[in-house]
Amino acid sequence: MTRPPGSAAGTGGGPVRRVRVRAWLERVGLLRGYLCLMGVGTMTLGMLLTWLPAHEVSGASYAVVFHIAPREVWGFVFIVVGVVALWGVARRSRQSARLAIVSLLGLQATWSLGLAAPIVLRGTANALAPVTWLMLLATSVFVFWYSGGDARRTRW
Amino acid sequence: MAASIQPVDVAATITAFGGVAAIAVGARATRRQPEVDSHGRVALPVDPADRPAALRERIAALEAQLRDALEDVGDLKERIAMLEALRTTLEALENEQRRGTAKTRRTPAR
Repeated sequence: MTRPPGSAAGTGGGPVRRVRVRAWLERVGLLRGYLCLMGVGTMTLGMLLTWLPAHEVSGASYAVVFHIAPREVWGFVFIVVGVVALWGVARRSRQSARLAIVSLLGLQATWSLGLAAPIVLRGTANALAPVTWLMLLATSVFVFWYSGGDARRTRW
Repeated sequence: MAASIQPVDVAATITAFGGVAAIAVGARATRRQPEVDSHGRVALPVDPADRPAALRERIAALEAQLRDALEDVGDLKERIAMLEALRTTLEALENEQRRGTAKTRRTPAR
């Protein structure tokens, strides 16, 4: 079986789609592309938190985060942060991108700590905990990449 | 009562503080830094060309240019007036010449 060059098995998209994605990333910039992805993802998570049945999002592994605020409040916060991230992408100003990335960082740090704490407290791990840590790591990389002296040379 | 404080309360407090600390660190890290040259000197926030003394000099130079331009305009106006007068004189002369030519034509040939 032959595949067109540049396409990989299981990706679902051929070389054309890959070129389109690369062109889009080059046009919007890496940070804005990331913020766009995070905005959509965070809004989706917020909607899931709000509308999923309570028993789907509950348990000892969520004890710490839901001790800080109830599920619906977190859902609202996720949607707001997602909107802020997308607004930061659309606004094309350094200040709005900064607000978007900092609010994402705060949310991800809270959830990383909040989902990891029950591992120590109750011995219950949440499957999302490693994902939140990876996301926090990615956002931190962006924060420090675009911070300080490099910020002057960066297209926001 | 100390007994009412559960481990989850402590964890939640630490988590909330962690989130706030992350926001503070992120806000501090993404703050715009002043430019520093290769000698470690902080660059002036204002372009030297835009400082008040330099601006005054530029305004004085522009005023001098404007004055010269106005003088040139005055000269041009005088020249235009002279040219207008010349054109009027020329038109008058042409009219006289045309009339003279016409008279000559009307004179019967001998």
